[in-house]
Amino acid sequence: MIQFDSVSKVYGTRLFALNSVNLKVSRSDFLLVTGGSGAGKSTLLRLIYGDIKPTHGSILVSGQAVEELSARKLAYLRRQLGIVFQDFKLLWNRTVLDNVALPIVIWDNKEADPNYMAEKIMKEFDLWKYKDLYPYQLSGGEQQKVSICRALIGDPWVLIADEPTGNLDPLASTEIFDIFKNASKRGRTVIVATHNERSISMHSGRVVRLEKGKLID
Amino acid sequence: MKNFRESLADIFRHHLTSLLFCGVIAVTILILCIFGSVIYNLDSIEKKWSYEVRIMVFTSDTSDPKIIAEQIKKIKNVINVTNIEPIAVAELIKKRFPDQNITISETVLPSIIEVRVGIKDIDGIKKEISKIPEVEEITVNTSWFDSLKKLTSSIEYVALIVSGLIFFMSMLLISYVTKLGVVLRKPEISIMRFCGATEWYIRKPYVLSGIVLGFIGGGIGILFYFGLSYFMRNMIGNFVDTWKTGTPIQILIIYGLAMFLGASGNFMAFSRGEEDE
Ligand SMILES: Nc1ncnc2c1ncn2[C@@H]1O[C@H](COP(=O)(O)OP(=O)(O)OP(=O)(O)O)[C@@H](O)[C@H]1O
Ligand SMILES: [Mg+2]
Repeated sequence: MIQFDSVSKVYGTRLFALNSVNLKVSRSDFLLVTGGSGAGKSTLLRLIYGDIKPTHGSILVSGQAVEELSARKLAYLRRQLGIVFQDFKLLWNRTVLDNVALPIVIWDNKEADPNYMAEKIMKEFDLWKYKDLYPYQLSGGEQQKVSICRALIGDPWVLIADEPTGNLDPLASTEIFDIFKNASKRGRTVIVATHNERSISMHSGRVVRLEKGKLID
Repeated sequence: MKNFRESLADIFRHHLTSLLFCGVIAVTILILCIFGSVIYNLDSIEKKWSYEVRIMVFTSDTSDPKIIAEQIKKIKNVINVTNIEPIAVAELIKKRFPDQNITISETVLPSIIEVRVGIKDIDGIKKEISKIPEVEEITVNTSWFDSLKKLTSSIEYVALIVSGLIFFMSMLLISYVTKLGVVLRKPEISIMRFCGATEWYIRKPYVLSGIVLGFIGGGIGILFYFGLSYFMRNMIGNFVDTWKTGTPIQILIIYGLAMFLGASGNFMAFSRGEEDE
């Protein structure tokens, strides 16, 4: 479970990017976070994976207050989260296979074979044929699928995506949202921030709206 | 082992930086060795000379110098007491001024008691000796020693400060060059953090290759130092006869410093608090 307890975030001194947000996301929820540009969507997501610390309040992720975690514990918490970005954040000098396998390599788990795990998930997403290519040789939609593979390879219970379809055309966007829906059906908590009107209107799960840092359920 | 191989591969991948680091470490270590050996040898020269201090005690004519010598021997920290008979004093004077044909009557000369002491104990022992009633005069010439001490300690200070500065500057240089590389890799590093990499995982390659480069560079520096001291010994021969290169422990400490220097790059290169941007 993910829980926000009257969380505020102030950048610098002036602006409340988030203003006393209370939010509970249960296991296998599929939550859409919507709102205009600058409403605080990215801020909300970044707080979950500990990229920034709240100015007030507390964020609980599986019972742990994220803002109080040591760097080491935060690293271990992030292994339970899969994070997807608008700009994919792939490593340009590594092959698709290496990009997908990256988290397993980093975790340095003696029992896990990064290449085997990457092969399994890439075949599931029909990306195995691209394994030796570099990210720039793929289309935007394919690149985003690679980054989703990377997010899912460690079997996280939460999937967080910030404008995952911001750079994609409608067809690719629909495909990406189908992937998220699937992940949610398999019991993962999925939280997606998006502008995409079509996806919002088609969404059957929960939708929350941010306006100038305030949450409107 | 796998990490070690990776760090070797890293060193070859960034061979220009590696070469620079090795060179900086080698030069720093060579300078540190030279200054260190200067300090070390000055110290031992000073110690050696500090046992050469002699207090001259003149006694009254009526007293028996042997008895007084026995009394002085009992004073704490006195190393050695010698009675110089008037005949010997006369001989000494003759030896000192051979071309002057001086004839000295032995009875005119006082008997002298020579007391060898450590430099640190001079003042206390002087006080004790002066308490003996038959003692007429005490002379001790330490001015040469004071100036030697002043000279050696100022050389020591300069050597210490300069080597500290050089060490610090090399550390800065290595840190900044490392930081440059880290900044270039920043996107990659932040992706690795999002994927759950610990701080140590990210720094490990830098620390490991730093230690390897410190090992190589430090080795080169120390080899050069050995070569230099061998060369010096052959050149100046007898003069540096007592010149010591350094004990194995000292060399090991310097070697440790070299590896520390190599690994020091990542202390400043990874700054904290880059979350809010
Ligand atoms: N690092 C930062 N420093 C200062 N202000 C920031 C920072 N990040 C975000 N902000 C401000 O906080 C507010 C909320 O930003 P946030 O990125 O959360 O909005 P958003 O809803 O994700 O917008 P968008 O839809 O354009 O991505 C904005 O006004 C933004 O200018
Ligand atoms: Mg945003």
